[in-house]
Amino acid sequence: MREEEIRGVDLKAYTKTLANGFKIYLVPNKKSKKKNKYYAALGTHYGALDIDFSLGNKTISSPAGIAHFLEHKIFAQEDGVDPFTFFSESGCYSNAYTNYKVTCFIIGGSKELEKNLDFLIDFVHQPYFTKENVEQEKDIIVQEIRMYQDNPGYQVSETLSKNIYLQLPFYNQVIGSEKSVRSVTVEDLNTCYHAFYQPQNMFLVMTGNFDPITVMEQLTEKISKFENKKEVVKIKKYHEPMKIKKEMEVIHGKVELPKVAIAYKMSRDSFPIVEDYVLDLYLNMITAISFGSTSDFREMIRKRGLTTGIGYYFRRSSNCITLFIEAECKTETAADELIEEIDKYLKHLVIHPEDLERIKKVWISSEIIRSDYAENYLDYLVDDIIEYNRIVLDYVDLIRKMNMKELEKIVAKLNFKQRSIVKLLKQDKEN
Amino acid sequence: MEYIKQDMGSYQLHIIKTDEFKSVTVELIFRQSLTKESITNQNLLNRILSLSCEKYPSKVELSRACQDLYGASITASARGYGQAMAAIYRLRVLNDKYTEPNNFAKALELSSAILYQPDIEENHFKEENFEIVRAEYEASIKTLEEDKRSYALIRLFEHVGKDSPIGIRGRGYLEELEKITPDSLYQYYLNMLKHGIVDIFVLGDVDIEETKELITKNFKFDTYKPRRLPVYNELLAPRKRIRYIREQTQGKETIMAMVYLYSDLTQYDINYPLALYNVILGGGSDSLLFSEVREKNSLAYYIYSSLRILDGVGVIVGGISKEQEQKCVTLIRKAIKNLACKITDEQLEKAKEYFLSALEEIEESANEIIETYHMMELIDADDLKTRREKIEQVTKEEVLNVARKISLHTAYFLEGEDE
Repeated sequence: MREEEIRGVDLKAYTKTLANGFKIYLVPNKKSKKKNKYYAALGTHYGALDIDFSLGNKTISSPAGIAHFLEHKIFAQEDGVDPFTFFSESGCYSNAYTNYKVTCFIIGGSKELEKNLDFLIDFVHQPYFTKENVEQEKDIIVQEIRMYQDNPGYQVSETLSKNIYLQLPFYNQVIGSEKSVRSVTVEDLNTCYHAFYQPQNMFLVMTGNFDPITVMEQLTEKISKFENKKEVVKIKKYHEPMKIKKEMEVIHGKVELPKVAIAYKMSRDSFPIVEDYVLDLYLNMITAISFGSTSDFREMIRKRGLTTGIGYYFRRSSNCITLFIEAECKTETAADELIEEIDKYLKHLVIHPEDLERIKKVWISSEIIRSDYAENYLDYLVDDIIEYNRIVLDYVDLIRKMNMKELEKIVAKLNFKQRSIVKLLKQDKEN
Repeated sequence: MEYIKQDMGSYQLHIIKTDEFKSVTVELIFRQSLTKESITNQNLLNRILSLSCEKYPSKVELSRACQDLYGASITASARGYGQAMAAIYRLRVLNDKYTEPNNFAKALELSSAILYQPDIEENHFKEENFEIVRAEYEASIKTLEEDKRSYALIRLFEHVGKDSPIGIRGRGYLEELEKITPDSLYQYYLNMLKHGIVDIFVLGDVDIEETKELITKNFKFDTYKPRRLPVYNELLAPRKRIRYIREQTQGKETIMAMVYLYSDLTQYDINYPLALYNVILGGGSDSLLFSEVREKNSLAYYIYSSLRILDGVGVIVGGISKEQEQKCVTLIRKAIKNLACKITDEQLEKAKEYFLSALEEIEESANEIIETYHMMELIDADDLKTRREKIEQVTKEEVLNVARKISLHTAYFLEGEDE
């Protein structure tokens, strides 16, 4: 077991990789009199991107949305014990989520830590799929799909994803489509379960109030017994071409105000920084400075009334980096003007050193404040594990070390030539 | 943890001294009556105060000032509490131990500047600023329907609580917004300062005497105020038959939102046995409704119930298919009927654990702790320790007694389109 400081935030991380490859990360609170909650996430590096893979010498192409379907069905148990019921007996919360890269099962409680942790591992380890319970789940998931599809933000990002990626299966939604969900079979679920729910592909993270030594012993004993299947899984590797499928699409829906989303696609390889986590920090810094509440650009578009709300983020996956900007505008004309302004602005992006220094200060504060909230901190650690396969212990130092020289090198490599736009406009009455 | 409350004449000061958080949270709460006019004015005022102030006359400058104080966050919000409305101005900033001496004091000064030295000219907010926030606020009201679940709940309460504060939209009203001018908004602002009932909460690892001094120095209210506002809404009259309301929207999902009433319950019944009843019925992923509607019949992805004790109602919400409306209602009626006859020991124990766990959750969050003390101020709610003790003591008979006094009142459907 390794015991390391998470520097600058007064926390320690206890980590261990078991002989079977399973990884454990424990980040307990400092001794606390009032905060009694513990939070655990049991995860597998398996998400909506992983639909095409090989298992031993077999090549498998699974239906879109199967990782999420599997997440739902893991809760089905042969002996009929409902995990929700089991956990709720000690007031423990349980839930699960799937995104493009990971599936996680979460619990949060204040009692019966040992028993609940044990059961978390057990129920994820022995799901029970039958034709009947798989069919039953389809209606529930279809209901969930409809809930998302009615959301205008979802409609925009769904369309945009389809238009920017040629290889990477971001063109699928995490949940899949009604059609792909209806096609899922017990066999599909079994295949994917055995491929991805193997110790070497999984991890457990904990935060909150618990004793790391005892928990580490318990987990080690329990999980070391699990063996990996012989067949090795290989996820299909993608090399995303730096091209856009569709540069512009206008869709219609039930919105009062137009929404617009812009994506800029660029190659990861063009950036000089080797470490992903350092590159991600700089990319996020660039967007925070350029589009955050303290940017002059934001002030200009606010004063001109070009937008009533704007959001932005980077996505990095395999060889591809995508910058997304989403906004709501009063009119379609304002939306067009905004797109033009953003384009102009990005192509002549200038970053001022005082902005960098100020936002560094804010980020360091956020690191410290975040460490007080065990439940959020768990998600934050899971994000690190998904992206970097470890938890980053020195964010505070890394942020301190950020500098203009590096930042300018990255700004110089930003490329805004590959662009795709989606506009969502109000449905005409006649349609 | 140490809690002190002090009457400062024109406001109450509450200091919650705790070393569980590395930041300090300060909330200034102004309470007034909830009306269509007040909630709309308040929302717009919060936006304009957050945009700029005299010293930092643009959003950019104000945001930079916050960031310079190690990312101090100063936010404004407003929400209804039964008949009352609270405007909440919240400062969160790292404790000086993690920043530099006087950072907290400076953050309080900035909060004070935002509240007391707004960006005005000749007794009105500046036209230019007014137009920016007006347009953004208008957009936020107009896009309300995009969040179908919230919209369905709003419509449900508009039908149920016509002519009562129960039906007032927290987001505000376009027709009220139209009436507001830079002058009238400024008058509203002065009125809030003068007549709002004020509580100030400070939570963090602070020195009590020093904090008192800092608060006194930065926040002055010159009028003496009555201490209480009515909070609880008048109870709705029970109905013999459920009222069905159907409205149409685009999209695929149908949202079902129902109101249930409870009658003849004491305050104790409402705070404890009813709270447990609601957990058994529709709290969490192990409730009766979750199990019946989702797990056994695959009719919904989500279904839950929650209590609005200030409005005297419980609410059940689920996302379903249009053709399954009647089936869902039948299942819900059956669940309510069954609970009136039988509650198992296991159900009761699990509900207690759920409740206790929710109390533990409060301790994890500075905002939630403050909200607990706020509710103690507002409606004499019990403190956390008392709540823990009382919930443990609730008997099955007490919950059954409550279960027999539950009746469905209205079933509202925001219907999606046919397949």
